[in-house]
Amino acid sequence: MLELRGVSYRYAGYAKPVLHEVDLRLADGEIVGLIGPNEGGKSTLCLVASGLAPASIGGQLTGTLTIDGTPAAGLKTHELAERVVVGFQNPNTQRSGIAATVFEEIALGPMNLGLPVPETVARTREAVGRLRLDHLVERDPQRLSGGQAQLVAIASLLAMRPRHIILDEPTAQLDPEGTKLVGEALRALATTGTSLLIAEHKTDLLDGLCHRVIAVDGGRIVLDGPTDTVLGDPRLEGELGVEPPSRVRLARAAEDAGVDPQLVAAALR
Amino acid sequence: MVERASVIASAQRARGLDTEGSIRARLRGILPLAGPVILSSLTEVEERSLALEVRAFGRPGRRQLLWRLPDSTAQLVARAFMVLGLAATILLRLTGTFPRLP
Repeated sequence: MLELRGVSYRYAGYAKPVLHEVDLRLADGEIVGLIGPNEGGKSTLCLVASGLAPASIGGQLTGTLTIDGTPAAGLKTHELAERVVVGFQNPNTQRSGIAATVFEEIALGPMNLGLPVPETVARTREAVGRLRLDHLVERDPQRLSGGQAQLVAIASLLAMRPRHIILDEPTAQLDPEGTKLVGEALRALATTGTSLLIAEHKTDLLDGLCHRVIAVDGGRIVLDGPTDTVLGDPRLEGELGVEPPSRVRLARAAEDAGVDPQLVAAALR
Repeated sequence: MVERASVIASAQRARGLDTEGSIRARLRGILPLAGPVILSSLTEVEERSLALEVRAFGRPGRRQLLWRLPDSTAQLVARAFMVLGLAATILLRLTGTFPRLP
């Protein structure tokens, strides 16, 4: 379990905190969606929940982050990496630049951990399989399309076999097929007890994937509840500037047009 | 960097920057390119380092290698001879006993 308690965070060089008194709990096997307007604190929350803020980038944190019962304060970045990983939306900045093939790129994490070769290869093969990247393993990681590179970046995180995965807009570069693939892989991971926090603008992805959704605005958690409740909340479009999933929009349009919502729901099924 | 520079050059050209023509015109075009190239590289450094740290890049101790190149005794001996040969050549050259090339 990953738990934030009363966490406020201020970036180094900033006068004011960006996160205020955040309480967040990720149970094992739980998939939590994270939505909110730009500059609302989504990315900062991702960094703080991963422990990299402040462990790597500095800044000032008050409150506590606990990972599987261990306080994150005092853990070194590589010790954090064995417990929780974070992925970003730009695949170019996530590429190591030192691997000659996609296979070695994905294997880099386990190699850094000094794991035996069979274990390194097994983890890499598993990550490759989860994102169906078999046809890319021999390729040069520098010469992939944006979507392929992003899948490789996510696979590189999975090869670390962390207990907790945090993804900051993982599907921004992906086509619908790639988005679906990532969704399936994450769902399968959750069944093995991995907990996931996914910041996304694509609420359709979150709708089918998450057990719970939280919304952050102004550095505070403003909504937290079951996926249906939060994604159906009228404040999404207004205050939060988040487009509700198509299912919700369709139901609303049907209601406005005087069509029985039960009928629409049945048709969607 | 090269990739980034070409993207930025295209973007600046689209906004009317002259990157062709006389040498003076091209030199004038360098500044609007150099600024964004250097600054955007610097801003990316943080995310890059985070992405590596997430993969335990900063871990002390031995890393695992996927490939081990075979290193036979014969190769080891050959390398030792080469190092000795180099040292001997330098020594002979310094003492003047090694013949000079005409």
